[in-house]
Amino acid sequence: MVRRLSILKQPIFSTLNNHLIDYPTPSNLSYWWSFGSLAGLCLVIQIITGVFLAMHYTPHVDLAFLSVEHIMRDVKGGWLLRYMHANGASMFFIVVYLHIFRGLYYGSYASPRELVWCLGVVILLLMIVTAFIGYGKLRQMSFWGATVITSLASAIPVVGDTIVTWLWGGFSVDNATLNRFFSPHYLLPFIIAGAAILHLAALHQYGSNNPLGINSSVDKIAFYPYFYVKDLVGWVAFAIFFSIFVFYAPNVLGHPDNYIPANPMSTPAHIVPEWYFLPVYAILRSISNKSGGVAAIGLVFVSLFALPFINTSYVRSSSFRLIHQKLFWLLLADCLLLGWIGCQPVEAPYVTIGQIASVGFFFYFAITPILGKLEARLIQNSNVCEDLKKKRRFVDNQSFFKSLIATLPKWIHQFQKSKHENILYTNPDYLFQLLWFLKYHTNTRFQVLIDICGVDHPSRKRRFEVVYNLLRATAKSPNKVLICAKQMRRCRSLQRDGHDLSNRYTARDTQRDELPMENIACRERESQGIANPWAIPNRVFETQLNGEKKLFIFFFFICEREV
Amino acid sequence: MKGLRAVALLGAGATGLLGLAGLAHADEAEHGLSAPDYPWPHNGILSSYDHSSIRRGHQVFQQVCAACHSASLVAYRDLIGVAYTEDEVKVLASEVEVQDGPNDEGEMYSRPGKPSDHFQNPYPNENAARFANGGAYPPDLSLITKARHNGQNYVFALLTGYRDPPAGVSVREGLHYNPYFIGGAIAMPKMLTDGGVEYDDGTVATESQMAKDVVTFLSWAAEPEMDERKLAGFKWILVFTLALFSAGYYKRWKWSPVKSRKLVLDVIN
Repeated sequence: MVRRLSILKQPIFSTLNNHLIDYPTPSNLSYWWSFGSLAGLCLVIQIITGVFLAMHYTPHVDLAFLSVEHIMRDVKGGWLLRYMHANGASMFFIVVYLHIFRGLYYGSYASPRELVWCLGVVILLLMIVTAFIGYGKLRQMSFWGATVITSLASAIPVVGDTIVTWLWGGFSVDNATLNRFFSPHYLLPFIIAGAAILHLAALHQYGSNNPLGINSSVDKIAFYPYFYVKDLVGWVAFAIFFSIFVFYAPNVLGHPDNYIPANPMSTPAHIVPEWYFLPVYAILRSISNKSGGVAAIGLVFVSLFALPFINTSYVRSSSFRLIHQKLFWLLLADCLLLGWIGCQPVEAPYVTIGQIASVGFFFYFAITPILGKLEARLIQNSNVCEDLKKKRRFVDNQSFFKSLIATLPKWIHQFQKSKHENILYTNPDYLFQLLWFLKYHTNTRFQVLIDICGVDHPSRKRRFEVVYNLLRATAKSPNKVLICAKQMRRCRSLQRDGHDLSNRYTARDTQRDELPMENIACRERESQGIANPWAIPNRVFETQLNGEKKLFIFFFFICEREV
Repeated sequence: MKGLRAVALLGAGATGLLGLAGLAHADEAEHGLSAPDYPWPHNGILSSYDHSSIRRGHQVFQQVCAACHSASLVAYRDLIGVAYTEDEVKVLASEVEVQDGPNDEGEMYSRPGKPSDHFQNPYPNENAARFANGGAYPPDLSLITKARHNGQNYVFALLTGYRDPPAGVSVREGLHYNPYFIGGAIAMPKMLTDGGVEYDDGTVATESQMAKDVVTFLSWAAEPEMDERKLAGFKWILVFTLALFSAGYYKRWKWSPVKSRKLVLDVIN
């Protein structure tokens, strides 16, 4: 037992300890979960470089351009500060977009983490405003971008024009505009930092989601040291990516017109915003009416806010959501397409493509409420099969399983067909090979693992079974297979080994073994026939079936419902 | 069949798009001909500027471009250690008249330039520049290679791209045909001709040699930090790469107890 420093038990320090050191984190988080801390790093980089840049920058209409060139040429290391700040904004958006898409893929917005998601959308909005007003440094493209985007406010009925005048501080983008952009550009990052702390506080209420999307409270590890060292790898990799832009391609993400001082008399041929606004800009432009375009942008953020509340899927991770998985990649492709459209001129093919892509974007959110129910029906496919059978569309799978058994005589010991399920029995030694085959072979494609459970039949001689419940959705019908590993008479004990290069953590991990579920499942009932390294007891329930008592222990269950 | 039809439709659509794109560029100069990629010696990841080329380019700039174009962000002191020695820069700067003041009597006065002075503008203001150039404003060149798409190649292509207008294209009096310029008609006449400048170092001053040198000079003027930036980039990326390996190893080491956990099946039959 490692003796904790007593300072960590003091007020404030104990809070820090609970959230930054001992904070329990799912053990199976992938590198996609590093983007949260990376976004925090980006914010810190932006604030630090920004504070130093502000020491040299002059927010005045006649001096802004010259003072930036002064930073680039005369301030020692000034070019590094400015390029880090300018490219850092792009990096921040790359990281945050990946963070958002990770959340979409793994269903991190789903109950109970609705608030985390909504705070995230608030942060995104704040970032967009901050980046937009920071971009306006009275350079040709930023000047025209500011003119176009601020005049969008005039689409608001009645007070629109007043708001635009108020935003500009006059009747055109001028010195007053520059100053009222610069001041909040300094302020908002600190508000973002505050929102990020709230985002984190809301997250820590329920803890992180994980790639399996299942309840991970039975297998959590301390944030320190595990996720410090894991995030460190992400940070260093990010630093390399960032450096490539800062040192070797500092201007590729910007527009060349921004090296021309703003000229109110000459409009650029195409006004293009920074790359991270392009998808939204494309949606804005796909409706030719100004009010309509602004309403469409509003709808983008309303959809994002609404997502956790319109979501009906019990399953979080897209790894187990066949349809959503494909829709997710379509959405990603659609956003990239919108981004490309956003930097094209408003002419013949691009407008139509942009309109179709915008509809595609909203289609994803429109289908979300139905999708969860549809997939739930697929998983509870026994009923679906019954319905289909009645409609004479059910394809008899008998021949399929016959050929499967003929192909794998060594791995499949026994085949049993019950009303809704096909049950294959195998020996634990061949379990992985069989699962692998069923998942990846062209003719099988059982891609969804619905659950893994251990079954204890107290009345039988060979009491224990491990059941893998697989699902495939073919073009004609979904069908389901249960695999039972060979029944076992008795299992003596369950051990968990921890090896360290220096054997340091073995003792500590042994202590962590004493998790309540495992106590119930493994110690007291002595029912541990688990041939799977990552199966952790998750749900336990007893049932009486045909007069025979059965005890189910679910090791892995993708639905969060109580069973 | 269905799949094939989809592919065919997609193909037809793509061809249509490409066709439209082709139409848009049928007139070579309407959107400006895109400049070819020239192998600039300073383009490489670890390549610095060719500093003797900067020096020659400065000579071209001074003798040809500076008659109409300003480069007001560049100071004479910036050239020290880049293209000239300190003494040479003092002489260069002292050759120009700089307006300074007011003095103790409240009068503006002229004095010889100092290395801390910026390059002087050829015209007192934009209106004077437009008046002298038939309504066209010669842009400031200090950032020109960063302020145009594909800047260095564009400037080189523009300087060497003057030719007779193709049949059917007429250019207004006082303008000159250059397909690399958007619209094709540029107010700047062809300025570089073979032997237009006599180089200090004896390099033969052909048209393309002068264009290359002046573009190198302008690239330096736009990004004077490039040499330092690339060197710093190499150092940082090297350090971060080593750090990535260390961090990766450290992560594996710290995570090994988690990764090597296993649940052991102990069956008694």
